[in-house]
Amino acid sequence: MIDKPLTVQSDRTMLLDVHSPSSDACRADIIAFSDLVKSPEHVHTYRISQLSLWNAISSGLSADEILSRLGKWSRYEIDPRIEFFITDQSERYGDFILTELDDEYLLLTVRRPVFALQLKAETALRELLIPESASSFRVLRMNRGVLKARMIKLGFPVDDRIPLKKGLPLDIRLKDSFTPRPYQKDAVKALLGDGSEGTGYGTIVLPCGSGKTIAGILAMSQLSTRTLILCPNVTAVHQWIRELLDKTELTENEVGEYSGERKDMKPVTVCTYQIITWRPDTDSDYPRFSLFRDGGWGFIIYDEVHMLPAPVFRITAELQAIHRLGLTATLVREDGREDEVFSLVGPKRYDTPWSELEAQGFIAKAWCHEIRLPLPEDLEVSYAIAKKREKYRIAAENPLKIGAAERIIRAHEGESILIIGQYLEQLEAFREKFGYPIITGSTPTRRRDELYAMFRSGEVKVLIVSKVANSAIDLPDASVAIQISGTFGSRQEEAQRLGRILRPKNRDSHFYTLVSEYTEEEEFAQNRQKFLSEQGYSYTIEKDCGDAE
Amino acid sequence: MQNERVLPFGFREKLQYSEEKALQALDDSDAALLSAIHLSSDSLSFLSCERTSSLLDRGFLIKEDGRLRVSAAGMKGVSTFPLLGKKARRRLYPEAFIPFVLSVVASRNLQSGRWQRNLSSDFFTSLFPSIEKGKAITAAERTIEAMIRLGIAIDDGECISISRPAAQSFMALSEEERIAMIIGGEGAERKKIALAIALSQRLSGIEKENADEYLDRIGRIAGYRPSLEDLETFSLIDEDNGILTGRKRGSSMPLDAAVSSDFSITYSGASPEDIYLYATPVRADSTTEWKLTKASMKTAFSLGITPDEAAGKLEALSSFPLPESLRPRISLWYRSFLSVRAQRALILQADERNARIIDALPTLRMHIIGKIGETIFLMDDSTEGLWRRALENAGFDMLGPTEGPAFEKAQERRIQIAPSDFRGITLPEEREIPFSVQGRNELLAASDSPLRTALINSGFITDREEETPSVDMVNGLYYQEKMRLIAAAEHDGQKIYLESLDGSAIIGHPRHLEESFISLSGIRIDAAKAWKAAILPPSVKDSALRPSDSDSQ
Repeated sequence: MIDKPLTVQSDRTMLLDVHSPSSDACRADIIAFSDLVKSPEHVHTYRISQLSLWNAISSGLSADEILSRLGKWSRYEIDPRIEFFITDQSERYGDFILTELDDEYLLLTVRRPVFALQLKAETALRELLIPESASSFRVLRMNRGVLKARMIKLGFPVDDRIPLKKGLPLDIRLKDSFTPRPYQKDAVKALLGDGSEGTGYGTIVLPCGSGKTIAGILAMSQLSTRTLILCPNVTAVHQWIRELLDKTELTENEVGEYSGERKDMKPVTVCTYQIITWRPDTDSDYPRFSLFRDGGWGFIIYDEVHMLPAPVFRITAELQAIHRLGLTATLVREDGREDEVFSLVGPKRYDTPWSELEAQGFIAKAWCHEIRLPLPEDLEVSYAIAKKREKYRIAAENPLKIGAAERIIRAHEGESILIIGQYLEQLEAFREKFGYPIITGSTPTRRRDELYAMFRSGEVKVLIVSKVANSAIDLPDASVAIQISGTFGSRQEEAQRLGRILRPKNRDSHFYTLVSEYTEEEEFAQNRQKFLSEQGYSYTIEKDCGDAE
Repeated sequence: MQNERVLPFGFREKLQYSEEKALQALDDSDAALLSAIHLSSDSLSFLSCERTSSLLDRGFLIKEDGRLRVSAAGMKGVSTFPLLGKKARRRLYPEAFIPFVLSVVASRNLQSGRWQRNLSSDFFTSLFPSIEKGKAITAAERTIEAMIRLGIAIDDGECISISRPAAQSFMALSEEERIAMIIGGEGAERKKIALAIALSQRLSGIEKENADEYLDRIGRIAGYRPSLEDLETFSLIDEDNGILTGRKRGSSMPLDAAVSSDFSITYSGASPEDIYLYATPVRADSTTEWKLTKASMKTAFSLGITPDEAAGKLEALSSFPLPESLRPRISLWYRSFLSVRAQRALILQADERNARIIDALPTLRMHIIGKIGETIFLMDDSTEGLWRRALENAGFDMLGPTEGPAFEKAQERRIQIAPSDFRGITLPEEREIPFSVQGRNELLAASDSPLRTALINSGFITDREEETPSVDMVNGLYYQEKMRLIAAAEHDGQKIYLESLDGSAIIGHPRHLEESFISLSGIRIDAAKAWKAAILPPSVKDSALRPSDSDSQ
């Protein structure tokens, strides 16, 4: 008898029993039409949404196939309303078809004239649609993304049948010495599919330290076209260039850096979000957006896509004809714009639970510790009478954290340690106390790179960093992170910081968070831990015992 | 003597009892009655049913130790006809509905006088994705009203709170009885309603227009006719396009329970009995999900649950080791809970001399919460009677009544919720019906004799190709022989087959009345007029018993 590990709930969530022998096979079947919501150690939660269904249908899956997969794995009878939802939503796909018209316009055709009336009634769409006939509209090419995003929000999925452009060709060969990991190959396969309509754009979610860059490089090699890569900071730009030169046959002449320091446009150009969204004043356009249009790109990679700034959303909406890839470990945006990422960059094509990769040894095993320490008596009253925001800061900058950090560093002597904090004064206090080098937003890029290099080589064992090191920094040997303060309850920041120590190495990693007890910081800490708890990470709670040891 | 004709007992060779075939002769009414007897703690009350004797005759019921018991064959019968109606897709009953409502009550988030508003919030209704919003609200309102009536929930004028002991007695009952109490059943009525609920949940794929007929049948078996409205309100049955189907019950125990590192608690089946005291509801569906939060643990601590107790309950529940961080986290919450506490107290003022005496009195010590200065004592409000008596005994007989406004005390209605031996969900529900009922109906339609019809109804003939066994018949003209045959059958507990001249037949246990008159299946018959007579085994169904007939308790 087949083992049935899936519970399909009436609210379209699905619970997967990961201890079941067939959980892997089941996961492989359902991930194509659902999103992973959380993956703690025993039961993983997936959700079927309108968007996830339409994405599945657009990549060739039928409603019957989806229902058959659910029937195959579901432990209990499936609520008829779920069946109706799947059938109904899949039937809707194809009601609105977008095709080529001429050089300037695309054609949106609706299945029945009544749909055309519906579209005309929507104020959000009126400016984008020019009636062509009773059942079709002309759409400016540049409005393709915006139209699709707005229609999806209104519940009208667009079947976009315009093939993606090829871009100018570029031979990107992988070096023979380099072997990608199975999940990296799977992720790229999920992104590119068979090359038919509805594939070739999307988001890949992989844990920090698991080699997202490699997945991007693999996709590049398969598409073999000119590629623009956008990163959150210059250090990440340098890392991409280093990896490209290391893993592919591309030469320095073919890979350019477009940053505040250098403006090299090459067949593969790596730039920062910041440089691309620069403008002389707040009323001006973004002059560097021309970079997107003029490079002959066939592929755009958005690294750390969860950090995509709002103006880039806008330009991305114009670039729907180009292959696109979003890379992230934590598609948790505190501004709730995950849906826009999915509709403009592309749907989530691949997502794997962190615990799976940890179990397979592809990311380091990490132990999370929450260290509680008291607020000094002289701060108790000022804390009690402070305003909410100030309260958090007083607790976060608790001076006793210096002693606690010192004890942790002593306990991990010889290991590569990061001290990560939010407040510059606090970080400075740590620097003064310990004398370790510090990297903040004001540290020049060259100095940052030097310090990161020294850290990587082991010359510097402890590095104090501000939030500039929250993400996209590859420090393979770091095995201990001490988080002394953070951005309130940011789940994404917490996960990214843990990510700094997840590169696999010959020892386990330890992630310490210092928290002032009986203060607001406790609440924020718990909220911060939510994402990681949902990935199966368990925080031990320890009381800092001062110098008692 | 030598001329005396031998009575025709040849049926013994020709009508061999086969359990498998007898099972095929059961119908859903038989199975419903067997289910009711199995569930009921008062099985003897079913003895008066005609159908009960037929089931006893056929070995599906056994009478022993002064009560009726469903035999192993009978339980197979229940499995053969797990449902009333036809096999239709059945959704799972949301087992966690009542625990979720209890949790909301325990959290003290329902304001007195306007708690209905909280229930109509999107948050509340989203807890029950498989229940239509309106029904979830109505069911919750009726549940809370019943809880207040039963003293499980207490309305103190500010908010609705929970009485832990009453809630525990309530949750110790079966789900059917809990619903019965909410509907309004007490005492013996509670059991009847519970039984009716258990049977109603086995309705499957019936047309709404036939609902009355089925509910009447259930009413005759259980002694209480459930209302369709109640059944729908409490999600016991669903309607889909005019078709009614009872919701399937899960396991009576929590299954596959897991407590994860994000402190979510998931399981399928019935809820652990007091999870509503310490966890906050997330979702009640095929699988139930709760979450342990700071707020839910505050509720737990307020109700006297200690960190060890809470962790112990979770440990006992979970199929896996608890996340490492769970115990420390609960302990830290507990420390926070204890760090500042509010307690009702009374101020007792004395002059210096008397204050010294009060301070020294050992009988008062346990009632003094603290002192404010040398002569002012904070006294325990809840033990006022005791310390007043102690003071009086110590000579303070001039102590007047307590001044100032009195604390409003919740009116605890102490209604005893009697425990029960109702068996709840112990019946098999999901079996494949191994043969076609339609097939039997076709056989019956093609029958050419009353005997064949009776034998088809009783499972002796199950195939069109099977010939009707030639049971020895006594010619009705031989009056004496016929009466001897009837007397012998009555004596041996066998059944009699009497066929009239017009070809109609009647079968049943005979009881001689007077002269040629006998009672057969409760009908008075003149045996002298019978055209043919034969003895049949008790396992042949009485002819008065038609498949859809039901019996009263």
